[in-house]
Parts: sequence; structure tokens; C-alpha cells
Amino acid sequence: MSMYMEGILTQMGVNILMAYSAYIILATGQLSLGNAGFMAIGAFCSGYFTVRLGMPLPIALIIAAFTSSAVGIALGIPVLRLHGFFLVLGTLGFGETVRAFFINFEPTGGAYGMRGLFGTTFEMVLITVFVVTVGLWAIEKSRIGRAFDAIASDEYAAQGIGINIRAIKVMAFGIGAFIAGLAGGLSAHHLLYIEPGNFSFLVSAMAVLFVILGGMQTFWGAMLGAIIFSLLPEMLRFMDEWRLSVYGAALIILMILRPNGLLSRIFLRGLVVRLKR
Amino acid sequence: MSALELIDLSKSFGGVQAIDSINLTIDEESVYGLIGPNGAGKTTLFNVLTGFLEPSRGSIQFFEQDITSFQPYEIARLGIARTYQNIRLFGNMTVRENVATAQNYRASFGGLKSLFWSRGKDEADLNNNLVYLLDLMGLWEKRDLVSTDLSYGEQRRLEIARACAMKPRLLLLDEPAAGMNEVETEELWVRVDELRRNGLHVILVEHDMKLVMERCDHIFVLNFGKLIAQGTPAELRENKDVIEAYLGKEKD
Amino acid sequence: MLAQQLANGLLLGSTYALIALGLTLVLGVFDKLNIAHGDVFMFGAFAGVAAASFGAPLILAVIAGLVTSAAINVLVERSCFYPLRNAHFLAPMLSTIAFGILLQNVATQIWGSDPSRYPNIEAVTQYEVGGILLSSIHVIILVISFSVMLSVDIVIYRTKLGRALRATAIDPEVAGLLGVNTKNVVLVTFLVAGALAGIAGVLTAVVYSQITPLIGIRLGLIGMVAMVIGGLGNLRGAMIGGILIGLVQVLNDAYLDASYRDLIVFSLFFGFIVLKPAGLFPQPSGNRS
Repeated sequence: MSMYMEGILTQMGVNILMAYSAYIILATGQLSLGNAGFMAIGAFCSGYFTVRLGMPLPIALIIAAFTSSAVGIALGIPVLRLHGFFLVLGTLGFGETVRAFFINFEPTGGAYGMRGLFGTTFEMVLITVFVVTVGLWAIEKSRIGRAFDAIASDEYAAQGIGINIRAIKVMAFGIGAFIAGLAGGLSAHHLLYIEPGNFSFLVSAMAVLFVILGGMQTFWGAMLGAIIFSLLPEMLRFMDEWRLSVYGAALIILMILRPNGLLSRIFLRGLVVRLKR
Repeated sequence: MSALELIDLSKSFGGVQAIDSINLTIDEESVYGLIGPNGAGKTTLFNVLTGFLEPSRGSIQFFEQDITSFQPYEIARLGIARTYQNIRLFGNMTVRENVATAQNYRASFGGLKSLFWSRGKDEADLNNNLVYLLDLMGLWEKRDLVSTDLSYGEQRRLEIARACAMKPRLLLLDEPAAGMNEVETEELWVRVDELRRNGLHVILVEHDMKLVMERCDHIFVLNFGKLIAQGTPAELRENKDVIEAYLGKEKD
Repeated sequence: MLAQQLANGLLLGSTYALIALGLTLVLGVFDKLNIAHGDVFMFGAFAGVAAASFGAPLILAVIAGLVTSAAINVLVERSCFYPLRNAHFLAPMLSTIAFGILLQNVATQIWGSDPSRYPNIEAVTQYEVGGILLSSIHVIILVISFSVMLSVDIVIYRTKLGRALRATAIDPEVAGLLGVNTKNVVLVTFLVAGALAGIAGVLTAVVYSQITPLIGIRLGLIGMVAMVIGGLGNLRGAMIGGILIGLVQVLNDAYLDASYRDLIVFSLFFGFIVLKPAGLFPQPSGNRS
């Protein structure tokens, strides 16, 4: 595979993971615009472990993801009491606080960031995406997945049938943070060089956009959104320097045409029924 | 052992006493009616019982366990299930999924052991129960429809099926017959009667006086948040306070 | 020294206040969050710089920025909010993020990604008042931003238009029944919010003399911080919040380290949301959760 292709596919894998991390939180009817913060934690933690402590990348990745998840759970407990715009702004504030924290955090290079990160292979990304996809599939089929749906539909009635909605929401946050941490670690060791500015609010926003445009009722929608919108800038290459503007415009137009995303559950059910025939 | 005991239970909203020092006890497995004019505090009492509102004073004992400060989900898991005045189904699920989701949190009489992944051996048992409930509520044919595509009466029945999927010991029905005609109401009642065979306490909030008088074994009458009378339908028919509070209101 | 810092903070904070004011207007009247607001601000700043580089005096540059941003903000309403008025409440908000991306890239195409400079303004005199050094430009900017804030306050709280706006904010349906043309109110809200962002943009370009297509992201976020600290939906609170943040930043730069700037501002933001989500000046109606 050419370097160019490998680069695009690796970025796509990272985008899929970020979309998953946004998806799992959206699945409980919550929204995080701060997942770049979890990504940053995954990136700088794993970078610190590999570069400064000489740890093998896979182990560093897993420790970093757990660290990110722990922060996610700690964050989720106060933040998930909030609703609507307060939740949106709270998570957004979290993401920016993490970025500002790493600007001032000398062990990971402060504002200048870290160098000498390497080791992410395409296979590694592929395996991670595969494992996380299977995990999400298992969750969707499990009683926890049902609880997610119940909460997203009606928090009141969900409590009425015995669902501990606080615990489930915090759990979703923890899982989302874990996946974003993996994405951050993989991305960091692919980019070779990271700085806090890489994990801006736009990264969080794009992760949510992938899900909304792909369809937020199923994780397949998240995957589809991430794939399409990772490839779109490449497909628009012929437009040269205008391609990112066209990209933005395309997002707006798609939002108008399909506000509920490309994939819906009803569509998927219909597809399954048709395939069974 | 009493199933439910309310001691001096009160709930006020900014100085307004929605529920005022209610003392009542439920022992037998039968149908209890909760009646009273609009704003008497019936739904508030349900919300306090199920933990959605915190009482300002008093306590709630459920099978001799103090559940006064419990969270709604804890109370549900202990075996109090309810339906809602405004239907609250999971609109993103099919009929079958609505019931199956509630089965996951079946009251595990006396403990909260089955928090996660407690399925497997009783899978068949759960499925039988699901088929039984949907069949009983006349929803088996519609099991794969999205719940919001059901008719109004069907949605009410699905709510009851969902509540019973938790194997509750106490079922609270908040105006289950609202918006139904006489035939549908009668039909519903046959179904609820069948459910009760498995052992169940039922408390019913209802405006339909005929239904309450005919079907309840014991009736509690609320007015302005106070419990003003209780007894069998026959006893209440003779009670002056009740006639004044309730039937007096009926005229206008 | 402290007095000088406070004056600088007031100057910086007044532009933040204008940004927060626009964001709050849209959120308050319309119950929608416009995340592209910072980018609308950025476009106004560039329009002002462009006008000035053609030789326009400051006041014409401000008007150029005002008109540009107001027009773009109406475009935001037409493409992100109006078509998605019946969709999930997140949909329009996310659409504005895409609009922001569009604005950033269009600006990069037109003006390049290197910092653009506001041309030097001739005939600057320095005043010294009680030990505080102020240039005439700074005085003009303070006068412009505070008079704009004052007029918005008067319009909102003292005029018929303001009443229509506030009525729509409380309950659009009832306002409609009472004869308020809510469609026009929404349009006016976006026009005014855009205009405020445009003014703030040009003033920022003049004071800091450098702007890039990406400054809108950070300034938009700071506007949100000011809005939250002042109490979500509270116009006067938003203005005070903006000025407070300006003061905090300037004092931080003077007495701590400039690199702590964002950390302090965003920690404050986060702290407020978690511990005191209603802000310093909670909206009395408190209808939003």
C-alpha cells in the first residue's frame, strides 16, 4: 500500500473511533463537544509512556485509554446532571480546559508539544477499529444497549422500569472517553509530532458531525459518516484550495437534506428483512 | 406483613400542600382505588411513592422496608411498577423491545443482585413471560411494530405489559381507562384481573367512578391532599364527606 | 500600574462583551446556540481591515464590518436555523459548526492564512489621565463599544422592538398571538447579533492589529464563557461577563504568566457550568434548563 493511501486510511480509522466515542454518548441522549479533550489525554499520556518511559506502544495505548476513561467518569458525574445547552457548553468547556492544561504541562512539552512519537501501523488501527466495532455491537445487543435506548427515549420512564440513569450515562461517558483515548494515542503515534493545538474544539465538533450526518440511531451510521467525511476532502482534491470551503458547504447542505442522518434503524431493519428473503 | 404503609406522608410545593399527612396501609392482594376531585393529589402521591418526588415529611414502608429516600430506579427494582397518565413508552423501540427492556430489571425480591448480565438460564422463562404478557394484552400480533404506531388503547395496554414485565409486587395504574369507551374499559379490566392471578397489589387512580365502584375492593378518597375517607365501595356510598367532596364537585 | 491594567482590561473586555451580547441575543430570543458566531466576528474584522486598506477612516471600517457580519449572520439563520427549525435541537447547532468551517476557509482563500494587519492609524495622540496612558484610538474604541452596549440595552429594555424581542424570548407562541411578528423578530435578532460581532471584529483588529481566519474559534469560545458567567440568556450579565474576562486576562498577563490565560478562563468557564450553571446573574424567568 502506498504511503498516501496508508495515511488516509489511518486518519479514517482515527475518525471512525472519534465518531464512535461521540456516538456512544449520543446513544444515551447526551452530547459531548469535548471529546477532543479525551483524545488529547490519550495522545499525551501514551506519548509520555512511549517516548519518556520507553514503553511498547500497545501497552501505552491501553493505559492511556484507561486514564482517559477515568477522567471521563470523573467528569461525567458532575456534568451529566446538566441538560441541554448547559451540557453542551460544559463538555465544550472541558475540552478547552484540557487543551489549555497541556499548553502549561511541561512533562509533555507544554505548548510546543511532543516529538518522536511513532509506531502506529495500519494493521494496528484496523485491529483497534475492528475490536471497538465488535464491542459496540455487543453493547447494542445487550441489556445495557437497551438501557441506552430507553434513556434516550424517555429518562423518566427509564427510571420507572429500574434503570439507574445516572450510572448508565456516566458509563457511556467512560466508554466514549476510552475510545477517544485510543484514537488520540493512535493518531499521535501516526503524526510523529503533537501539540495541544491539534485537539481543538473543531475535532470534537467533527466527531459529532460524523455521527449526526451518518445517522445517530446505530453505530453503523457513525462509521458511515466518518468514512464518507474522511474521504470527501480527498475526493474534492480537484477543487484545490477551495475544497475545504466546499466541504463545509456540503456539510450544511447535507444537514438540510437529511437532518436525521443517512442511516436510520428503520432503514437497516428493512435491509435485513430484504436480505433474509 | 403489610405491603405498603404510608406514615404521615406529606408533600408541599412552595407552601401548597399537595399531599397532607397521609396515613394508610395496604395488606391484602386486591385492587385499591384512589379517587378524589382534580388536584386532590392523586398523581402527586404516585410520584412520591415511586421516588420521582421526594416527600417533605413522613415515610413510606414497602414490605417493612423504608423506601422513603430511595431513587426511582431502586423503588422500581424493589417491585413497584407504574403506568403514566400521559403515556410514556419508549418510542424508539418496538412493542416487544419495550417489554423486554423492562424484563431486564425484574424485581429480584429482596436484593439487587442482578445488576448486569444475569440472563442465560432463565432466558426461556423470560421469553415465556414476554409472550404471555403480550398475548394477554392483545399485542402479540403487533409485537414488531414501533410502539408509537399503536393505537391509543393499545399504547395504554403496552404500558401495563411493560410494567408487569418487571414482576412487580405493587402495580400503580394512573388512569388506565382514560380515553377508552365502555367496551374497551371492560376488556381492559378482564386483562388486569388475569394479571392479578399471579399475585399482585394494584392501586388504581381513576376518574371513571363506575369502574372504581365496581372493581375496587377498597377505596381511598383524597381531597385537597388529605385522606378524607376509606372503605369498601358500599361503605363509601353512605359516607357524607365523600358525597360532598366528590359528588358535589361532579355537578359543575 | 493597576489602574493602567484595569483600563486595558476594560478595552479588551468591551470587545468580548459585544461578542457575548450577540450570542446571548440569539440564545435568549431564539433558544438556539450559534457556534459560528466567532467566525462571523472574524469575517467582520477582515471586512474592516479590507475597507481600511482602501483608505477608509475608522468609522467607515467599523460600518463595513458591521454590515458584512450582519449580512453573514442572516445567511447563517437562513441556511442553518430556518431549514432545520423542526429538527432535533442539536441539528442547527451542529450545522453552524459546519458554517464556521466554511467561513474560516473562505476567509483563508480571500485573505490568506498569514496574519492580516490593520493599517496604522495616523494622528494618534496619547492622553494621560491620573497616571493612565490612553491613546486617542483606545478612547474612541471604548466610546464606540460602550455606546453600542448602552444603545442595545435601551432598545431591548425601553422600546417596542425590545418588548417584542423579550416577549418572543419568553414564549414565541404567545408573542405571536399578541401580534408580534416573530419571523421578523428572529431576523432582526440575527441582524443585530451579527452587527455587534462585526463591530467587535473591527475594534479587535484595530487594537491588536493582527487577525487570522482562525481567531473566530477562540473569540467565539470566549464569548460563550462570558455568556455563561453572566447567566445564560441574560444580556446585561453577558456584557458584565465579557468585561470581567477581559480584566481577568489582562491581570493574568500582568501578574502571572501569559500562558495561563486560556487555562484560567476555561477553568472558570467549566467551574461555573458545573458549580453555578445559572451564572452570576441568573435569568429571573429561569425557563431554560
